[in-house]
Amino acid sequence: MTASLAEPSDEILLQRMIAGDEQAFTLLYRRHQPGISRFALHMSGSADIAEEVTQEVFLALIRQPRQYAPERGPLASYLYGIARKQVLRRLAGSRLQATPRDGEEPTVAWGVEDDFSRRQQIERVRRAILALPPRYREVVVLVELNEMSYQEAAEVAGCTIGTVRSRLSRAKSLLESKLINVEKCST
Amino acid sequence: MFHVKHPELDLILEELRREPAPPARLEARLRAEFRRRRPQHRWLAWTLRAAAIAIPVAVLVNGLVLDQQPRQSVEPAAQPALREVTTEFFPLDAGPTGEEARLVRVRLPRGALRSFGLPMDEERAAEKILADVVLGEDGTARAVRFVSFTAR
Repeated sequence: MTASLAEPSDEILLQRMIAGDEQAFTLLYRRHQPGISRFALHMSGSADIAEEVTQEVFLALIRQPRQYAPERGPLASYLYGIARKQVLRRLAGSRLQATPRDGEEPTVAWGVEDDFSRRQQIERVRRAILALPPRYREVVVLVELNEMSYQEAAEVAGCTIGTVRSRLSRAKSLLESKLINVEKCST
Repeated sequence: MFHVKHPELDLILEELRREPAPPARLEARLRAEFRRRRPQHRWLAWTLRAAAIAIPVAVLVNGLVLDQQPRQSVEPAAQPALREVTTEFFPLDAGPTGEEARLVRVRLPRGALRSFGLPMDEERAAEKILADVVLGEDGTARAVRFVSFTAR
């Protein structure tokens, strides 16, 4: 999530942006938009929601840039925090948040590679992630898919590093429990 | 039937990680919103850059007076009971200042405060206020801070 040595830091770009530098805003957007969009997409499973959330994140940055307090953490964590709240707000009460009932949980059959393409397996894992409770889903998305450190994920999720570790472990156990070895099950 | 750990999960998570992010279709819309909300900054940054290349000791440029003498800590026409108070420096340009950077004191329209989200009395927008500008070696304005005076 950090800039390279050759590029201005987020803090420098933000100050320039506050001073009216459009190029600085553009650099910030291009630097953080992919991760924010990917996070919103994997959390919601909806491209439309992902786009709405991404827009809201950067509109918040444009309208209230001084809401970000550097002493609380990196700008990226602040932006992801906004995205997280926006996603959870949209998921609240929606069908996406509901845990699939028994018999409806997505499963992946292994050991029968001839019957399922790789893309179908990936899609099933994607749906399995969406079926996770939000508190487990977000740590999988932040750490495994957005490649954040435990520290960074903890800042976004507003919890301790230990909580991130335990939730991630539990989330992966839940995902693995959906991976059925067909050959072993069929014996 | 029993469940076992599968390295396949990590491989599939890796593939999901490498998937491209959703397209950035919002950029133009957001940049338009940015411009709509902050048009005055371009004027201020241009004005300070123009002031940076002024050569004479005192030059009037769009209401801006550039004083090349070292910054003085107290306004002339002495009010010795006053204490100088400054804001933080607001960066204007991320380039290096170099070893020959200068700090010059200028007068700007009070309305410039608005560009930096600082409070100001709109009725006094046309009045002049003092500001310290950091000029880089190339004369580009790198940062600005605003100066006021308060009773001791």
